[in-house]
Amino acid sequence: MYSFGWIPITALFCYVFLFFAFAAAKKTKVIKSFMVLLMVMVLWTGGSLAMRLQLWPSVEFWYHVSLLGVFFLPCTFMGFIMDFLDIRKKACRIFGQVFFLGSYILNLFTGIFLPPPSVVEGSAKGVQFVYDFSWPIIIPFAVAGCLLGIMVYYIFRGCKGNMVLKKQLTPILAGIVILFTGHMCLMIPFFKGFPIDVLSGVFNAFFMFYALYSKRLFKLTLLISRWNCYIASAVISIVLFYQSIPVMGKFARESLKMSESVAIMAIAALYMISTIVLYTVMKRFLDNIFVREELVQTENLKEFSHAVSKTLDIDEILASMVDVIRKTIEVNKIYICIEDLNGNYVIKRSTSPLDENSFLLRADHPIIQYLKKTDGSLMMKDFKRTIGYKSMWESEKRQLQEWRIECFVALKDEEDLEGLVMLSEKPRHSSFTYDDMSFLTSVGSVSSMAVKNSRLYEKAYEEARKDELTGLLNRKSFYEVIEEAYEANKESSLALAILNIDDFKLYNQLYGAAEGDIALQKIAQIIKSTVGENGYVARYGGKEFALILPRFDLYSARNLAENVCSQIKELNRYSGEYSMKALTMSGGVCAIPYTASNVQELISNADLAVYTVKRSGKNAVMVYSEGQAKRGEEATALRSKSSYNEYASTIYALTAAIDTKDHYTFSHSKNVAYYAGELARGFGMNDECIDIVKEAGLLHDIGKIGIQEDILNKPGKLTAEEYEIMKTHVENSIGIIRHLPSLDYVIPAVIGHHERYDGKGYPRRIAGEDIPLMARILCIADSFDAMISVRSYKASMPVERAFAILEEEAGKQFDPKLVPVFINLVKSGTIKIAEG
Amino acid sequence: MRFQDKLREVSQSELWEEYCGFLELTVEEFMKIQKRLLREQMELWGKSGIGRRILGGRIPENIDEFRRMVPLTTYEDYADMLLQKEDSVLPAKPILWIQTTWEGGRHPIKVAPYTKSMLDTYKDNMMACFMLATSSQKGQFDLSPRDHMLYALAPLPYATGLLPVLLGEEMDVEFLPPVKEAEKMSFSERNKKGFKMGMGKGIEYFFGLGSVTYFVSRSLAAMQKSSSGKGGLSKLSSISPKMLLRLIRARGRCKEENRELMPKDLFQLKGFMCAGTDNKCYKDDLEKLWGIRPMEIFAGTEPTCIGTETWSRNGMYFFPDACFYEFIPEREMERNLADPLYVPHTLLMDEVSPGEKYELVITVLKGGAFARYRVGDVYRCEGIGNKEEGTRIPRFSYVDRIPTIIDIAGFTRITEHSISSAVKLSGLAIEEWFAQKEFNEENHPLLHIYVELKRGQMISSAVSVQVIRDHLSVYFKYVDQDYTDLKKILGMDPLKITILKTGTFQNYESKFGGLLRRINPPEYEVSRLLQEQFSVAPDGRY
Repeated sequence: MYSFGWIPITALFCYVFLFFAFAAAKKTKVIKSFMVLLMVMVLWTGGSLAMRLQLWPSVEFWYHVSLLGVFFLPCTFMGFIMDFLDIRKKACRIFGQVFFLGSYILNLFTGIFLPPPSVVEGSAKGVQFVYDFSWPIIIPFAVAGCLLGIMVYYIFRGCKGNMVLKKQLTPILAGIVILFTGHMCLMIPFFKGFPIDVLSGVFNAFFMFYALYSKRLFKLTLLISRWNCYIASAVISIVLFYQSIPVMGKFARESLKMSESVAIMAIAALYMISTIVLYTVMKRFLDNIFVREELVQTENLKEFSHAVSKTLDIDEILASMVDVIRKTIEVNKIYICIEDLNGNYVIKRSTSPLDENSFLLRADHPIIQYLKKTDGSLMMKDFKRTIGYKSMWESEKRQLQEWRIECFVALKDEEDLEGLVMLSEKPRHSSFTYDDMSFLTSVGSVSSMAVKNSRLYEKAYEEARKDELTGLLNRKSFYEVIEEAYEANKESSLALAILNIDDFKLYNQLYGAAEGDIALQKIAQIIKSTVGENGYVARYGGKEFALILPRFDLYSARNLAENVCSQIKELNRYSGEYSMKALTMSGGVCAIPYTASNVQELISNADLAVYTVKRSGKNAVMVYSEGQAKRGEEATALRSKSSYNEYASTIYALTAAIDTKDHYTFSHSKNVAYYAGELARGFGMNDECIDIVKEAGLLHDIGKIGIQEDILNKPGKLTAEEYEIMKTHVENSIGIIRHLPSLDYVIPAVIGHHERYDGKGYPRRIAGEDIPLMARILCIADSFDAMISVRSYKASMPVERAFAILEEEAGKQFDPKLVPVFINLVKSGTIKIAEG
Repeated sequence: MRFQDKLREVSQSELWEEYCGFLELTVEEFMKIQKRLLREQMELWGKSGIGRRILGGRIPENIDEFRRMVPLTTYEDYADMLLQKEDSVLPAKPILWIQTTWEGGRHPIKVAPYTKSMLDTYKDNMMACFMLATSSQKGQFDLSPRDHMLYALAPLPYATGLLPVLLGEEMDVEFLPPVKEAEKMSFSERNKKGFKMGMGKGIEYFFGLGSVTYFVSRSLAAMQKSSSGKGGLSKLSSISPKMLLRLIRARGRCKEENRELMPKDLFQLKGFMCAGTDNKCYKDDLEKLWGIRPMEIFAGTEPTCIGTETWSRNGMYFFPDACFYEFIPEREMERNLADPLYVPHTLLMDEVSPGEKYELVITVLKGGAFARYRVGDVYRCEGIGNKEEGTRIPRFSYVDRIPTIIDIAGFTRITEHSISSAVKLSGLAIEEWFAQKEFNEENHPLLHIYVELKRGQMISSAVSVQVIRDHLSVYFKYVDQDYTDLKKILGMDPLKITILKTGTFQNYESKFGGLLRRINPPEYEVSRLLQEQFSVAPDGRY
């Protein structure tokens, strides 16, 4: 072994170590080029070493291996430089490869450039290798020189005006200079016998390694794998033992007097033990330098994943997230924003609750848009370089700047951005590392799944508990809540108020179901805001609300219910262009322990109180008391008595208006009112209904005010067009009556009096029992009077003929149950035929 | 981080993305940025004193409402509030006020407030212009803090004076001569000093109004000629050896080619930018002189820096974050000129059509004072994107000022009011006139006034074309300082007079029921009027 034998061994070890290290890295084009270059260097250095050691099979073999490395060094080096600079020209590269391969093969068979050295033994310096250079060696040198020139040109061109690339290329350039200088030094006598060329190769490799590292092309910790440690410790052990075996053998045999075989065994055992020790020490040492931080991160991430997998509570998840980030990465502040119902991202958790106020990132915020399109995390400094930054508002920029936000981590599950984490700067202005970013990305992906599940669960839970339209508790959860409230308050008191909207069906008929829904929402809002945190509100039925009031007595519960009712009554006072019907409520109040002893009793008593109010005139709140069902009169009736007399003047004014235009319609309306009223009475309806039918009869043709007189009084048949105009009188009637909320209860009868039992009528084409009963009554009365009266376009019809038509049309135009009742009433003289 | 630090820390592609990334936008993305920033501005402007006065206290809630509620405005709408420089009525606190002349206005100057945010945007867009000026392809540029810039622009408080201030914040580029010295110098002193310093240090960038850069470039040869005479050798001490070598080689080459020395013989510009109007008249000549085609940028006092050409020098693109742009189609603009009460409708960037001309309407973003402001410039949409450049947003070219303003070489803006004043002051017996902007055989702009003299006075006073020209020229200089500068700086006297036969205007009026517009009337009206004079007897009879 020559005296500087350790240099090629170290070089070889470095190349092999780097090669295996990069074998584990993600292979980009540049890394692949670097690995090819390392391989070429391994051939060069390894071949040279084996040749000098005269290993098997022969010096000549190892010489050619080494020469293969040397020949391919220029073109692989150029390949690396071109890939590093992303230069895609292939001509030079291919030329170099073909030329050097050809030259190598030529030299292999002819030795034209550099034949294998002759081995001279027995000199003072041991074995010597004598090379016999011939002039053609200049050719490959010249080509290599050209390639070197091209490389330097590429490097300088790349650096021009590009400071960043210049910085990255500086170590490569330094490596080339060192490699070149190393080879030049071979000619200086001072370095004679010293493998300066090999040593310069090692430096060059490390400079290239640094260049790749500064270009962030691999992760340093990737180099520390178990296999790398095995290889490194094995190589170090081999080198150590290769040098020390003769000494140790001598020492064992001579000083310790061991036999040959025992000495060999002892040395082998020592070799094995020291290799293991070396491996362990190396692994620990490297772990401490590079991997400890990563291990801590992995451990924290594992704990965090475990914690969030156990809960569906979003607050717990976000709290764990803040904890794990704080524990692993040193940051001053953390803010977590979660998407709300409007698609905006609001702060749900932070390390500084005082900063939270009303900050939100709008759905169209450029950062949100960016994170939706990309995965992982985003550095503010990088975002500032995107076009998205240009659309940020000054106030948004200011806010993020104020909080010194430096990093955003997306909580993204597939395509959905559930939320984002904003991290402020790190202490001492240190920047976020590659490992920090990887860790945050991992936390982000674990959290996003947990947040999504938690939000879905919360949404489903809320949906299951709440009424969709009003957002109040639904009937099912009402029973759960009242039970819970009872359990919690049975030692004190628990009141229940049930509020039922009066005449809500009519309201829907008047203004449509959509308006009805809006009214329900408004009522719910009023109740919710009045009850506030003092109790719970549920939509107990379609038009019924329940107020669960823990620790309320009867007096305060009734006051609250009356307060709600009076607010609801004012609801439609100023709404829209015309006054809408005022909504009133009938309410019942009951409380434990005063008038009920358990939940069931509480609910049924409150229900009973509502029923009593409904029966005694509606629009009131009643407190349940014993025997109340029988004493409806105790209701605190707020509603003034509705009667025909109250509205008589209005109805008279309206009918008088039509009289001025069309006298026939006026008398017809009076007749219809009479017939319809009597039919209602004959059919067994109560007085209130009879009054309504009469009022509807008087008003049913009021819309004819809007029809031209020439159509109204036209002798003969109407044209199709005129008939269409005539038909509009029904809608006109409604249009007039709906402006009079006090008379709106007649609308169902008026709107349906031209509907046919078989569904072929107008305006709504409804059929059978869907047509309100009063409308069906009005229809018969209207038609009968029309048949037997004289009209501008026809003479009067005999009553018998009219009966025949009624019977004929029973089940078609008319209600088949009402027709016989009406005919009997006329025949019996109960209904008298009107005169004129 | 300053731009020059970014040059060291950030890759070229990232810098390109940061400053020139807007060129990659689709029209939809462009509009998204525009609309988002307008929403911010609507909020700021609507609540400001200016906004409250124009909107009468109403606040628009969306962009359609904003366009419906805010009328198209001119400086007249803001004058009484802005000329007082009253911060409290503005949407945001201004950092500085930029000034310009108010053509035909009731006050000699107009002022516009610039907020911090506007200046930041201005700076970024200006840096994008610089990058593009040095680029020959997408993603490539060549800027260095060691470079030198020759600039031919007015100092602060004029908008052009912002350039050295803003550029100085980002890069240590050396201005030739230094800004502080230049402010105290006359225009020609500044040029001489700039070139002298350039001979010693080199010139990498050149920026100025198109007309001024042309004049400066032409004067270089003259300066060289004079310096080669007496005292030539004494000045050699200020020339760097590199430049000396170039000068010697250039002289040899010029002698060989029998031509004058041109700037391109001495300097290798990295970037050449020009602004202002009439640049198209000078671009070819400037390219010949410097060996590099100037890149046009679009900036103004009220709108800030709003657009730039790219490496292809083939049409400009608007920056998405400087202003919200609306466009009045040419037909609508003409209709409005004929009937000032007519409210023209506007189009947005995603509604413009290639080949059409539009008057620009801007709403300055980032706390600016102007909303739906008629800048007075006309652009032509050259196309939607450009395959060569890989762009997808509309591409425009600058046409000229609106027809009622005659802008000569970016220096002076002549209106009906200024010509009327000059005519009145001159005391010349001019009965009627109209004026239009024309270009001479060298493609340089000129102001052509057609006059009809008062009948009967031609005998009693000398009123030749030369007399009228000289008279009006004198009074133009009197009423318009910029016109004086035109002569002083560019050596231009761009006035051309044509005397029309007496009775031409009267005849035209009686035949067509009205007179033609006095400034830049439509071409067909001009030819009808010119034909009319042949059918009029000198005494006015047919």
